[in-house]
Amino acid sequence: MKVRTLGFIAVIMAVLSVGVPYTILGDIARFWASYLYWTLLTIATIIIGYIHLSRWGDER
Amino acid sequence: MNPLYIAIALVIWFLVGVVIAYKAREYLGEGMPEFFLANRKLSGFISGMTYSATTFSAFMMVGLVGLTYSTGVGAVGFEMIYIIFTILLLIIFAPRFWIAGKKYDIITPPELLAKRYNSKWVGVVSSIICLTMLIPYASVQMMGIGELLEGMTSASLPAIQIFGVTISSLYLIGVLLVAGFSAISAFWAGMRSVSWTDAFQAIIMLAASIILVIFVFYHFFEGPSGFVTDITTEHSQLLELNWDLSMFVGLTLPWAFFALTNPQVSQRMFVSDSVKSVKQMIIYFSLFALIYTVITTLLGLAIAGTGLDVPNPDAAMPTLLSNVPVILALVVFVSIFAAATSTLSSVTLTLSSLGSRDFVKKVKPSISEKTEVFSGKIIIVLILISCIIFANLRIEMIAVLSSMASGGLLVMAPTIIGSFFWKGSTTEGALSSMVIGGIITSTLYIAGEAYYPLGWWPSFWGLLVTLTIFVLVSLITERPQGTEEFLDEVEKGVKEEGMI
Repeated sequence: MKVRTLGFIAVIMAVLSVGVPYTILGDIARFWASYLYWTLLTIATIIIGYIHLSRWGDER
Repeated sequence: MNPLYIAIALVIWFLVGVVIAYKAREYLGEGMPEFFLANRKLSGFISGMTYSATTFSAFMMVGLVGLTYSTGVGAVGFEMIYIIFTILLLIIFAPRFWIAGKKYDIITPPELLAKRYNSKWVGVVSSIICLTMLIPYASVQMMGIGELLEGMTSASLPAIQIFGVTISSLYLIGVLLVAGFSAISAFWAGMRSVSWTDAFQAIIMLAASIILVIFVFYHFFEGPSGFVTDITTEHSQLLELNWDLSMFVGLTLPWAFFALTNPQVSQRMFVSDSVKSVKQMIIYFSLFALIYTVITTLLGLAIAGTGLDVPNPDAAMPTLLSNVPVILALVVFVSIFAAATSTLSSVTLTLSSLGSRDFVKKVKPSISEKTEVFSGKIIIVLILISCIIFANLRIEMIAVLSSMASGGLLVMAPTIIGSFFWKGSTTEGALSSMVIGGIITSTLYIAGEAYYPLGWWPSFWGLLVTLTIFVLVSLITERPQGTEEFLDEVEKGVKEEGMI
């Protein structure tokens, strides 16, 4: 994954992590709303990061 | 709680920590990289744990728990966004810091900027910003522990008068204990002892929080499902996002860039011994951060559901601890102590490396590495003494300066990002943006909320102004000598190590 792709992912994450809770989920008083959404977004980032990191060192 | 129990728990923790720091000392060699970076030889596990313990201070189990208890799910978003950005920033920047550190024998983050911008002044200004912002932040770690110790025990020891200031004995004991442990772990073997004790502290922090949340679920609710039902039905307002957008952005923005702008964590991008260890550092931190954040925010919500009488948000955790079995309360109490000391010792060590490398060495370039390390040790003592004085004065200004810390450090973000990813960034752009941005951000913080333009927080305006000045000034000035060479060398190293 190139730096440009990672930068693009960061922008998407910034938009999703602020935009969705403030427009769609914010008024829903349930665990599956904002709480779960932010947690899943973080887990998604960890998975993306893990996939990227697993390739480190391969091209040596 | 009986102060004797607290004393016994703290003595056990203190002794284990001191033994670890002493063992680390046996491996200590000579020279600056050895003392301040453990000779760039830390394993993946230790790198990940020291990164986690340094990042997460007593704020998590006291401040974040209280914030979630009082303001609900907004606190979860604030902390999760920090994790998301830290992972992405580490993946992008850790290889570059690591390669540049090895290639140019760089010890501190300001030194990296001085090298890239070919100007000692960029390093000096960046170090001044770090010292100004982080000494009050370090003092607040001490104050937090002093207050926690004072609040956890019902015993009343006589107050002490020092230079006309009346101080509670328990508060002073808390402050001195944190300072003493930090001094031992930073002074004895530098980064090696700090990182080893950090790993020990990180394990305590995580284990204690897991045990506590399980106990709370089963003692106060009928298990996790009972907790979810109770909060959803009785305290549903906490699950709604009720943070004002400007507050959310104002608090989150500095944390999103924390991994780059806070030298005590960015310096940890220099310490790993191999590509595999850098990789493991990021993975271990990611998992630690996610678990610890989920637990602390669940605890905040759970305290609301317990119906305990909590006088103010910061008292949420101490109130909970006074309603759980003594042994569990002691373990959690020690874990909060551990969180504060691990952050404090890392901040102290990093600031001392900045002082000796970016000031003493710049003023007198002819000094030997041995003298440089010695001056670093003197600076450790001076920093801790200033923090003890600040903490005992408990002046209002410290709270303002401390809250300013993350926003103030944010003004370095464009300079740091530009140093690796914009060939056109210049020395003048870096200097003017950090100085003017720093002054504007600090002025807004000191002026107070009533003066925030359009209601947006200083961190937002600070970043906007800094970025604008950095780009505009860089466009009209010439790039420093050696820019291409620096960037080519770093990118070549990143490719050769396969870190892309």
